[in-house]
Amino acid sequence: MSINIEMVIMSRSSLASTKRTGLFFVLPFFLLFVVLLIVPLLYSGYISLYHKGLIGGNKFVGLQNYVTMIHDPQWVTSVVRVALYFLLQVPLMLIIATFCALAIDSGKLRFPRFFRIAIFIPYAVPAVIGAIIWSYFYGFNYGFINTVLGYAHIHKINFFGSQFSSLSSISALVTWEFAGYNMIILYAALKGLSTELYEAAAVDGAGAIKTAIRIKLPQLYPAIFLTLIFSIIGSFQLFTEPLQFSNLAPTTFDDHYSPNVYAYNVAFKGQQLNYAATISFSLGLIIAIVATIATLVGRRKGEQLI
Amino acid sequence: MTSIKKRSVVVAVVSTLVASTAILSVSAQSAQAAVGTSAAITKALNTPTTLTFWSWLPGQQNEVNLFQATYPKIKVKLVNVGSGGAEYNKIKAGIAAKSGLPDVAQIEFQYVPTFKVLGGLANIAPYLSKNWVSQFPAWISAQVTDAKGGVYAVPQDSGPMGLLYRSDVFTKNNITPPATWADFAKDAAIIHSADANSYISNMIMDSGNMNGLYWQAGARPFHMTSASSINIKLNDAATKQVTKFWGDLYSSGNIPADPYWTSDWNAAFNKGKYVSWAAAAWGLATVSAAAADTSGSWRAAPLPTWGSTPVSGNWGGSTSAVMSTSKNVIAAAALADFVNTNATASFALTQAPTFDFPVANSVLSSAGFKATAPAFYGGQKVYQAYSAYNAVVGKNYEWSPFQDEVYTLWTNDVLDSILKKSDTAAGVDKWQADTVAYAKAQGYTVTTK
Repeated sequence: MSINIEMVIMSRSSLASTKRTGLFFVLPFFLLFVVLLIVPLLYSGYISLYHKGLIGGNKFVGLQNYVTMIHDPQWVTSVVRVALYFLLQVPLMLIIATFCALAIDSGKLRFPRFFRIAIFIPYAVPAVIGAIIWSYFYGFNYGFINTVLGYAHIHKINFFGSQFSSLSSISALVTWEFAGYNMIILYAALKGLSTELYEAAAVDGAGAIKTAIRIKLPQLYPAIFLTLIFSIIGSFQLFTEPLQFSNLAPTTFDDHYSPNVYAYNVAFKGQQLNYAATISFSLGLIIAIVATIATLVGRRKGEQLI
Repeated sequence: MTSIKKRSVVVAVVSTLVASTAILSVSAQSAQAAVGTSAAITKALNTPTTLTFWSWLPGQQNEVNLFQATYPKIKVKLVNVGSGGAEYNKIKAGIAAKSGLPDVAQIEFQYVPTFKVLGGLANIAPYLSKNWVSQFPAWISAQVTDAKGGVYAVPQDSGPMGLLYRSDVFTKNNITPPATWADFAKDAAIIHSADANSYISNMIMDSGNMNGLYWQAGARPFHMTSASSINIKLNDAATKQVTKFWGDLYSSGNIPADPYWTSDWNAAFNKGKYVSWAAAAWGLATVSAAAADTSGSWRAAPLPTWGSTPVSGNWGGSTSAVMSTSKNVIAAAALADFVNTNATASFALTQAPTFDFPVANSVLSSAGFKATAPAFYGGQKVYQAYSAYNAVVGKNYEWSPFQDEVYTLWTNDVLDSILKKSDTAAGVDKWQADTVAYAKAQGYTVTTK
């Protein structure tokens, strides 16, 4: 009896110390999480409730900045634009990523490792550098693509001429950057699938393509969904590419091309830090709402998601 | 520890005494001048100090070296944190955070009022010599001083505008550099019809470039009537006339509209796509760097005019400004002053690799400066030419304290109306309305006379 009690006490104290040890390991992350995420988040929420002009002091205005924002056509344009961009870019990117992951996993490729690295490498290129590289491709007069078209006597393409062409140009660049990243996630998920089903399928006479579509793809659904959530977050936060391309087409990639570009210009060019905080804070809210809706819609498929 | 403290207190007391006697004898205007007595300045310049200096000027290290040789106790850390907007964003963040700013920073003329109203610039008037402002043309010094005699930046270079053109292409088409803008439009048609891949010029896509042309035409959009009230008149007849001119040229198909400062834009100069450019003096270096293959065939001519009187505009030009957060204001003021007004330093600014167009009267009138005749410009004395354009730059130009926003709105409203080939006058009116709305939201009392 007494021994039992001792054991219970021991295990309790060891449990407590395990908890403490756990906390200790989590601490570095937790501190950074609080300092770099929670505090700035609360602070931007806080300053979005104030107004400070170049003349006159700082004053509390409640939700006035949010009311202004909802009636600001530039802000509405920027949100609608990233929503369009999401619809245009994300399906394309995820289809390519899924196809590549399945292709490499099929074992039918000659140099699977080479393909894996080659498709992934653009992700390792900083976004700014990626945008600069692609601006050499897209240049109207002496850009790479138009130079090649010129040799073939084909009409030049203005990659930033219209709303749609500019969104497409950015979509191509971001797909190049992120398809490999998503492919790696999906490929890792494929590696985690049990191979028993493949054997059963092979016994039943299914080829590589049939196995991929009928067996692998359905099981890959949770992983694809995860990449979708990442992509929602990424596409609504569109920033570096339009900012970089604004040098090439200043009126197409204007100061409110995306909500983040708008917040940046409002803060640094317009000196309206409060309004910039309002835009940023609401963008976080919009992303949370869209991601939640996606999760709710996705869940009906009866899978355990995120 | 205590002895050091004691000593510094003694020094402080002594220098204050010296300062107050100086005030009594010289009858200085304000208490602020007490800090700027020669004793305090001498002391500051002989105290080991490290200054940080942000500048994107190529070759700025040369002038810094001259300064360090003259004041060996002071070390200067020259940092290029990016040019123009990239640097300004860092300064604005630094002003908001009240830290992380350099002692001295390069700031273009048009942004001096912006940084002054943000509280980022120190008044260095107390540390400058008595007739300091008189070494610059009055319209230059007016852009860095205020009515109370404060000096908020030291002028470095200027950007009087002229027309750089390809003399070979002009000769081939039997035309001379256009004297008026009407001639310019005629020549635009001649050049483009002779060669489908050649245009007289690119569309003026850069807000600062276009602003220089508005300036030339007589636009004076801003006037501070008090610290918190401003008169805004961006939609005057001159601005609408210039905007319509370029809008019509673009609609006619005789000029293209390519963005500035890209590799495409540089290549266009080199490949003969543009055969002229309404450029500031610093454009001499820009074109010679971009268009090496056309060396020897470029020349400078006066900017075409609207009337018969020769008049020019100005585009760009920089200053060195002391930041209000500097802990070594005296030494920083000395640095900002020295690199721009010391005889050797200010001349060095006009030479390779900087090629600045000077602002100090002494350099402007020096024979060595005027004699410069680069081979790229066929041996033409281009600086002498630009000195003549500089002499006729329209006077009394005032900047707004939110010039960044004004330029952003120009791109949104005016450039957009030009590129969409829609009503440019409506675009200019929208620019005015948006700027007024912005100024009001910032707390300014706005008049629009």
